[in-house]
Amino acid sequence: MKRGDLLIYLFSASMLLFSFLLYLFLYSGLGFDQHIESVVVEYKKQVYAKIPLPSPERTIDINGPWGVIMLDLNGYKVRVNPFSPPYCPDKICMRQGWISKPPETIVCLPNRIIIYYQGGKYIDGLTH
Amino acid sequence: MRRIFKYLPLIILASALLFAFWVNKAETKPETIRDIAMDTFIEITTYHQPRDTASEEILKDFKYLESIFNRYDENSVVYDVNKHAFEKPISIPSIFENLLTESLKLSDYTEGHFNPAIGPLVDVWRKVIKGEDISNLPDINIVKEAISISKTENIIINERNGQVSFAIPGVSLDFGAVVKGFAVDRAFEILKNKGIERAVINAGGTIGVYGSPPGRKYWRIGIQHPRKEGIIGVLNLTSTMVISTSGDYERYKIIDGKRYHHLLNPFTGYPTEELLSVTIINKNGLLSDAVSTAVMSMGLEKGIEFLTQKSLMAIIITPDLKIHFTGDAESLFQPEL
Repeated sequence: MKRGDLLIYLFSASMLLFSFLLYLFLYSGLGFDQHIESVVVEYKKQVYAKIPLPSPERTIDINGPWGVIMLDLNGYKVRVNPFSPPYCPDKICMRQGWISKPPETIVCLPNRIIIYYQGGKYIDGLTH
Repeated sequence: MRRIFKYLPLIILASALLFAFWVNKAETKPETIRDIAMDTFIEITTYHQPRDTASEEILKDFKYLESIFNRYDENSVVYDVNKHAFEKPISIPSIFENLLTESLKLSDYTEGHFNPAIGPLVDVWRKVIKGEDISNLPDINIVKEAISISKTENIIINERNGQVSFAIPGVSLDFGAVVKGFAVDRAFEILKNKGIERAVINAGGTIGVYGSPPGRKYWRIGIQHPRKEGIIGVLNLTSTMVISTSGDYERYKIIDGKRYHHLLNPFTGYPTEELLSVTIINKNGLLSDAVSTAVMSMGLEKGIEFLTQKSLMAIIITPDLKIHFTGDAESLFQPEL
């Protein structure tokens, strides 16, 4: 074995060790993506809107087969506008008020509309 | 020493291969689907290889359960049973017999505090709790009559024929308290059969964690704060478990300063008092669901005695917002500051 060989071996061994550590470092954060990316409106498992957050204070209309839903946005806070056109018989989602972080969701059972955050997950689930 | 150097390239190559294999294996991506079934929000996250259909299969099964156990759906099996089982024995599918038999066992186990025959009482309170009729609370005599009908003794199962009948008119089964836990148990079976390594199932607040956590030490499950937005603490879990919570904040109406919620004490006929919420942590979802409901009805002293005697893990929150633990639950709990 020559001196140069040894250097090459040591070099590759340290590269391997480095990538291993780098991977461990990256992977340890995986599963919990720290920041909230967007709010998603899903209807019957299809995405109808994906709004990046934080958002300036505004109200937007989202059109879909159910009619129109008015979403109020402010920073990371989201709510269904209480004066949304009545697309829904029980109006629970209109009365729910603001959600501000995951895993909070707004769910309209009769219309199968689900409004949820993408990203910003800090727990795997919420028991209630 | 010389020998080691001789094999060094091989050793490096082998470790590189092992590393690559390990990375590749660990790289199962989480995928989440959301939908509504069993009248509640469902969220299924599986960590799987591409093109796996376990989540879809679980969702399909939840919808199947709904078609059988939703007592408000005129096309469901339970609706048919409730409507006609006094007139004549009704043939039931084996899944129905299975959940009914297990529920009756759990009713005995919880000394009647979980009661699958509570339908008549639920019907007495339903309009009040939904806020459709807040002008008058149910008359005490109506409540008393409903209690007398809401007895499991009135259910007769004929195992040989796969039939069920009721001894008196008016009996009504309600599986609302346990169907979500039952569904999570079935979801775990599907995951097992499909060879899925890990998953999180959220069936309307009954949460199942399956397998080991992804690249970290614990699954983290938040427990809803019973009196405000957000969580009161987090459960750190290392392996498969079902976490079920019953709380007085879920569906309720406040009338004259008093809270009327959907969890009824089968003995008094009124919404349970004393406890804000009960969380049960157990490997069996059906048991978690039934016991969390039952302990709400038992109250603090009786509840803790029962849970301790059965060695069950529970987290109980009382109106002073004090947190009580049984089993090893305290060691899993991390308060939210």
